[in-house]
Parts: sequence; C-alpha cells; structure tokens
Amino acid sequence: MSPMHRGPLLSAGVMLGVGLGGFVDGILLHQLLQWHNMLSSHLPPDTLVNAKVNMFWDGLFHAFTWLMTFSGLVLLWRAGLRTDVPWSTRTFAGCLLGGWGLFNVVEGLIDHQLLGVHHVRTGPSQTAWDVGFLLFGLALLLAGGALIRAGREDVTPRGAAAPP
Amino acid sequence: MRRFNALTFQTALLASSAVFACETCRPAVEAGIFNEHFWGRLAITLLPFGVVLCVVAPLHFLGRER
Repeated sequence: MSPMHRGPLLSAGVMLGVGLGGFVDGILLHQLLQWHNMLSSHLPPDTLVNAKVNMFWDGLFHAFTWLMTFSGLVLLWRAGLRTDVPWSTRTFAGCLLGGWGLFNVVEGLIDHQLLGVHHVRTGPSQTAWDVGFLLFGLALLLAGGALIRAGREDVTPRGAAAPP
Repeated sequence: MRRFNALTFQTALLASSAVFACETCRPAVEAGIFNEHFWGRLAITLLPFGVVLCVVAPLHFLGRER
C-alpha cells in the first residue's frame, strides 16, 4: 500500500480557515461593528479623508484575504484529485478552525501587540479586547488541533470515502 | 403625484453636499494613500499573511503517514 499524505488536505484547510477567519475580522469588526480599521491607531477615521484612506487599506487586507481563500480552494481541489490523500471531515474541519485561530494569533500578535496599527476595540479596555482576541484564537487552535488529531484515524481517500 | 414626489426627493438628494463630497476630497484621499508611508503600510498589511504562509507551506509537505 502506498504511503498516505495528509499534508495537502492540511494546507488546503488551514489556508481556507485563515481566509475565512480574515473575512470574519474584516466584515464583522471593520465593516459591520466598525470597531477598527487597518490603520485606525495611526490614522483615526474621524474625518472623511482618514476614513477613506483606512477604507483603501481595509480593501487591500480583504484582497489578500481573498487570495488566501482562493489558494485554499485550489489546494483543496488538487488534494481531492489525489488517491494518496485521506479525505477526512474531521481533519478538514480541524484545519478550518485551526486556520482561523492561526489568523487571529498571528494578526493579533503583529498588528495589535507588536506594531499597534489598530486594536480590536480602541478605548480604555483595548488591552482586554486584544487579549480576548488572542485567547479566542488560541482556543480555536486547540479545538482545531484536537479535531486534526482525531482525523488521523481516517485513511480513506476521496473517491472511496463517498457513499455509493 | 407619487412619481413627482419621488423625482423631487431624488433631485433633492442629488443636490445635497454629501453627493459631491467624494469629488472634493479625492485628491486628499489619494495624497493620504500614495505618500511616503505607502510601502511601509503595504508591508504592515502583508506581514501577517507572509507569516501565515511560512506556517502553511511546510504543512503541505509534512503529515506523511504509513
């Protein structure tokens, strides 16, 4: 029996999770709740010009997020064509959660903590919101990791996994 | 009458100052984007995605079993 490779499904799921997690951040926190924008600590959106400059950088953020999601789809399609990649729902769901968590942790550490270009919710409690964002990301990573570990038992490739 | 009211309302909206806000502020917006901070801000926006790619790329080649 040829060796099985989980890597292609792992990378596809994590890329999709990162992209979808980025969209949650951009759509929910930037646009619907309007808690922050990409550069809102450097350039507070308190004038129309500043708001529109932030809108441009939010747009670039969304463009990169779209590219991550699209790359995830391409990787998933290619993984589905391979007979040596186990097609596991648990692994894929774990990667989606883990990817979202990875996005939150990386973005939270770099943009909120390290560079301070924006905070989750600017104000007297911004540190608590930033830490909460990181903890939520860590929880997603742990939940995703548990699902991925459980998915190790699944070894059937895609064609054989589908019911007749 | 209803059509007239709708047209009047639409005309009033189009004549408001908010409609022209973009025209007047566009040069200022472009100046706010394409200034000496542009490349630094682009790097800041890209950085988290670059870090994520550094994590995902090895994943693709790992996970080999049996």
